[in-house]
Amino acid sequence: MSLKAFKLLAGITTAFALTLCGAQAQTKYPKDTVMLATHSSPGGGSDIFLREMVPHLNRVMGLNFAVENISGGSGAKAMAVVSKAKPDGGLFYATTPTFIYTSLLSKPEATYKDLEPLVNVFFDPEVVYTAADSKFKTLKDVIEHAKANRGKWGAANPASLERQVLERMKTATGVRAAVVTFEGGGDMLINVLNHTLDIGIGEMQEIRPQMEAGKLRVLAVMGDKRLEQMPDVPTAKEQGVDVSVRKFRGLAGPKNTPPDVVKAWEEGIQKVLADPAYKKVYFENGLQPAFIPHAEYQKFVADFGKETEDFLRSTGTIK
Amino acid sequence: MNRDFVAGFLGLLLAMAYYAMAANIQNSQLADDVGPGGLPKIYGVLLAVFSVLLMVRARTSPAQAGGKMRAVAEELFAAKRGLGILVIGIGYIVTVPYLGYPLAIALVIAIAALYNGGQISARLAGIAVLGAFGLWFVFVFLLHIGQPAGIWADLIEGLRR
Amino acid sequence: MIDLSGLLNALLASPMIIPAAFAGIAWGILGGALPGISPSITMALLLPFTYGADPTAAVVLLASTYLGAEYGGSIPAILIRTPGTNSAAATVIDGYAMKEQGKAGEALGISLYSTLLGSIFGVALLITLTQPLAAVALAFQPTSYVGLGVLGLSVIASLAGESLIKGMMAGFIGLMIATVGTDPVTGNNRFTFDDPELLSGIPPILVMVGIYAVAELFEQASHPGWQQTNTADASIKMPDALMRARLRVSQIIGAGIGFIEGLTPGGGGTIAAFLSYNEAKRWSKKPEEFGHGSPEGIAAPESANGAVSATALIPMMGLGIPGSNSAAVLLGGFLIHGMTPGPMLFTKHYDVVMGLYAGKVISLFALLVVAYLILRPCIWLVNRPKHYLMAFIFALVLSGVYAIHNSLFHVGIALAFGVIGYAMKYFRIPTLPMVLGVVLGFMVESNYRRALVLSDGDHMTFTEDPIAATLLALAAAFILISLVRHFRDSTKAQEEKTPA
Repeated sequence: MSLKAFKLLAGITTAFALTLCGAQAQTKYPKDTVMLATHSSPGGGSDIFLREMVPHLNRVMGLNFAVENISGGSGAKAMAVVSKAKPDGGLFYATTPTFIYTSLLSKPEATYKDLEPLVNVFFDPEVVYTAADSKFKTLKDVIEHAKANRGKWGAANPASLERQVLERMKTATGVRAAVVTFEGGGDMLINVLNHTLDIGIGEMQEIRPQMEAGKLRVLAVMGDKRLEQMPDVPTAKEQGVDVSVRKFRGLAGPKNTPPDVVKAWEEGIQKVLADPAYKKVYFENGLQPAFIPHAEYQKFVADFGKETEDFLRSTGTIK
Repeated sequence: MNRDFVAGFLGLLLAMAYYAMAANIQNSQLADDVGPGGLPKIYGVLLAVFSVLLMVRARTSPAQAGGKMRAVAEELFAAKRGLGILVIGIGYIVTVPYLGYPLAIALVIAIAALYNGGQISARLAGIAVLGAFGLWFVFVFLLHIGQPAGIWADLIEGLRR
Repeated sequence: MIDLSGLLNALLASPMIIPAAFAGIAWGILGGALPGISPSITMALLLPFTYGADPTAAVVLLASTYLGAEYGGSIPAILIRTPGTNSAAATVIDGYAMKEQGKAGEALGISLYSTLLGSIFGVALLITLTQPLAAVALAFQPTSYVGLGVLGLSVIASLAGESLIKGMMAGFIGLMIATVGTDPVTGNNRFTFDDPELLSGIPPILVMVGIYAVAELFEQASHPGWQQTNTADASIKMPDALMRARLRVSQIIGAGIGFIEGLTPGGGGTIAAFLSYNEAKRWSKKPEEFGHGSPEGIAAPESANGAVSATALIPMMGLGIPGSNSAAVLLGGFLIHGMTPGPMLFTKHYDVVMGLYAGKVISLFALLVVAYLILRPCIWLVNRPKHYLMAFIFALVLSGVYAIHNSLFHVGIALAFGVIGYAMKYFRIPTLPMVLGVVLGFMVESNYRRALVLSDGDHMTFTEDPIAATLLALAAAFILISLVRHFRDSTKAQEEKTPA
């Protein structure tokens, strides 16, 4: 997006901020306008996450936020731009596990190691689901079926967190299952609905329309805790499958982000997550608030990166 | 040597290079039976087969094969003017990060028009400037495409300091 | 059932639909006409501005932009041999040939008329049958996509023109280009030279702009003969009764294929355009005219594009599953207004759905009006002195292909395909098989391997899926027929030669 566009958007968001609450005196932030970059194109997952958060952040932090889409190379371009930016709190990148996968799978100019994780905002829970009229009622049924015959499990993308979860599930239970990958969640969803696949795995947001219409049944949550949004659905661990995963949604910036900027963000994100108006929005989208402060988030991302690298190496996807 | 023979030979070279790369794709435990290199290898082999067929046919029935190499070379020489456009394009790619989009694209319009038989004139300069403005207006202003800005902003800032 | 009063009420409830439909069409034509600016980018650029708008007007704006962009791509395809969108590349072949014969106005008229007919058909189905038709998308399994892709590729056998061998070579080169990027099953990088810009593959539009537009610029610059300007029509000419009768079959084929492709995720406008071009040729009374300015060669892909721009909304709205990038942007447009497309959309937001339908109907009128207004200046522009026109086309291509990912590397790829296209012309290798390979290669490979993973390597899986079995049998029959015809023709040619 050009500078012009950015100014226009910034103008719009300023107007928003001013009309909603007026300028609030806060900790002095070095910048008036903050760019939040994403590699997803307008309408994509991270784009919607940012655009829904921005009006609330404007209000809570008293700054102007603008979203910039830096698409290309599955995040390679965005990482390069952000890593080269001045660490003045003016530009951050919305991170998901994708930026770790891209760093490991290709040799981009800048990798996740060249960025400094700022704070985490959400976990986006992965759930395992099947068609509402299928014979599988629990995750155990799926595993039993795969033991006796051969399972057909679907993940949205070839080298992705979802694929990794299914492969780990296969190893943990020792069953025979074909893990089939697609070019996106919608493509896979159709194959779950028409019984080509036993189960699919994905984020709650993707399957919401089908769930509301009663066409899908969620069998398990692939996290440590049950979800507030569907308290009846047990976790995989509860069903004897010891696999759990945390798809994170957070922010990262250039190295050496100044401490006052970090502090402003740590306060701001906690505040926005507690904000009732925003809470309603993210609850509906199936997101779990998961604030992780700056110091811990460094280690969290590094560990996640290490784990992913081990998986890709052990399967021979990368050297 | 005739045109088809050369085409077949080039096809064979491409097929061999492609096959070599396909055979070197890293194997993954996540792979299916076909594997990431499976179909590419088949494509490589089949391209090689058809390339050889073309070379054989060029030898056995030269009448169909589109002319002797000598006539072909003359034709190629006559077509060399097309290369000029390519050079202008490469020149654009190399210089636009420095010159910035509006100036570089104006130069492309002016040089390409001259190359294709235009005369240096105020009209040509005017069309280049207007055309560049029009393209800038549509791509940068309306569509928000971040075309390269060039070194101008840094330069002005440097001068100010 | 058509709920006419519902449509009318929706219109009265939010009259902003009308300006939204016109604005969307105009913006869409602009974006679509620029090479490299895809329909989905054109739509996505509007997305931020719809945040504060009335939800109905917002989705109408986006949906009209989709139609406008699908149509807009064919204007430069016909006038300057530059496909504005992927799906307009099929229109280049006969559209530009007609323009070269001085029939630009007629070609543009056929394109507009066919797009309109296709979208009327699509909109009618959208309004009446969205919910039942959404189920059709569910009938498509990985095996079915293989059948669809192979049927498309089977055409190479009949298209290949003077030489079957060269056609096959071009086809395989196209398939090879389609393998660049991330492997669909393992996620390994293939043929990327470790360059992240190649991870998501070579965008087909680069190949098409390269071998059609850039190669044509090389060609024209190298032959001074171009200086004589063609006397093109001064304005758009709608087809007369005779022409309309001739176009009917190809338009039915186009609308039918566009309908199916719109419904099935992953298909999309490009594949629909090329498949219908192929089938129109296969069923035409004058197949020999294809490639040399056949009006049917414009009518088929254009009516397919028109139909897709409406029917692609069916799985998006009915299932919440976007079948193409453009439908995904429209889905985003629903989401940011707090509406989730899917089965419940029709009960929860019935008024918005009705408003969208009304907007789609209005956008058909808007297309006719806006196209009439802008085509005359477009034709005027391409009749300027040729050296200025060529310079401007080149500048347009350099600007447009950059826009796909803001990448100068992509500009270089387009230039490289210009050289390849030029070389192919020189070696008399047909380009259409290569384009087919590029367009269909990924779909065929990824679904073929997916189907085998599902069946544990058993190829019989393709006979068990009725859709796949039918399509593959058709493809086999077509290949056989064209091979028989090919050998009969070449032996006949031999016999004619020997006595002389």
